[in-house]
Amino acid sequence: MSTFTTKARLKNGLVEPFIKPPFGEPDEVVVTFVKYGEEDADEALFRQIEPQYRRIRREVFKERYPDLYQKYYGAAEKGSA
Amino acid sequence: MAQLKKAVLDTSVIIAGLLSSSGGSAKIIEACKNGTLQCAVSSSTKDEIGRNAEKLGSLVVEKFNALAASLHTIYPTAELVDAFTEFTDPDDTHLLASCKTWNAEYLISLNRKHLLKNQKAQTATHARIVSPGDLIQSVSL
Repeated sequence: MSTFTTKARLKNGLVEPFIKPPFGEPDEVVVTFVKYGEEDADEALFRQIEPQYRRIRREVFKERYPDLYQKYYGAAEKGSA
Repeated sequence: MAQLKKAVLDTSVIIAGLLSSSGGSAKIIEACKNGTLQCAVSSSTKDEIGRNAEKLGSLVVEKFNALAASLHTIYPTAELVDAFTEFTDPDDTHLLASCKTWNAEYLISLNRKHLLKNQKAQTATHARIVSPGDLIQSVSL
């Protein structure tokens, strides 16, 4: 089984993912609605930079641990090629 | 004299602390610099901060360079990083492996999705995974 998580926008009651999964049409879609509650200033700041932070984290993981990258993300990478 | 607390810092805390001088992350960074907290980062975190800082501007790079001397660097093995994938997202496991390697008491992060309140990861590393605010309150930094 493959899963893919992405952020999405809620517009007029419709959920629109920002990017499509690398494996084509999914068999099932699960939506998580999040309400940020007692969030401090640092967490709000982090949320703004989080997409860049996650992208860079994945890049560094790939470079430092190439075998582990292949093990955990290789299939998804091939699927998106 | 009491032993200094040992804490591994996540990239999220360092970036937030470099960008804002008013939050809990900035206090953690200050505690690292003045020696009231013994802080370390993984080699991956160091790479990540460098790359994030380049995108966030020269002031952030300068602040990071000033902080870098106060941080220990941990080089967790690939085997240990792999072992912790059982507990969180593979991208984040270098942090857990670093806690184990360095016998850290705390992992400080802002990552609620994968790390904060992750009881299994805490048990496996023997480190408490806390936000900057939580640590400041619990050890009166």
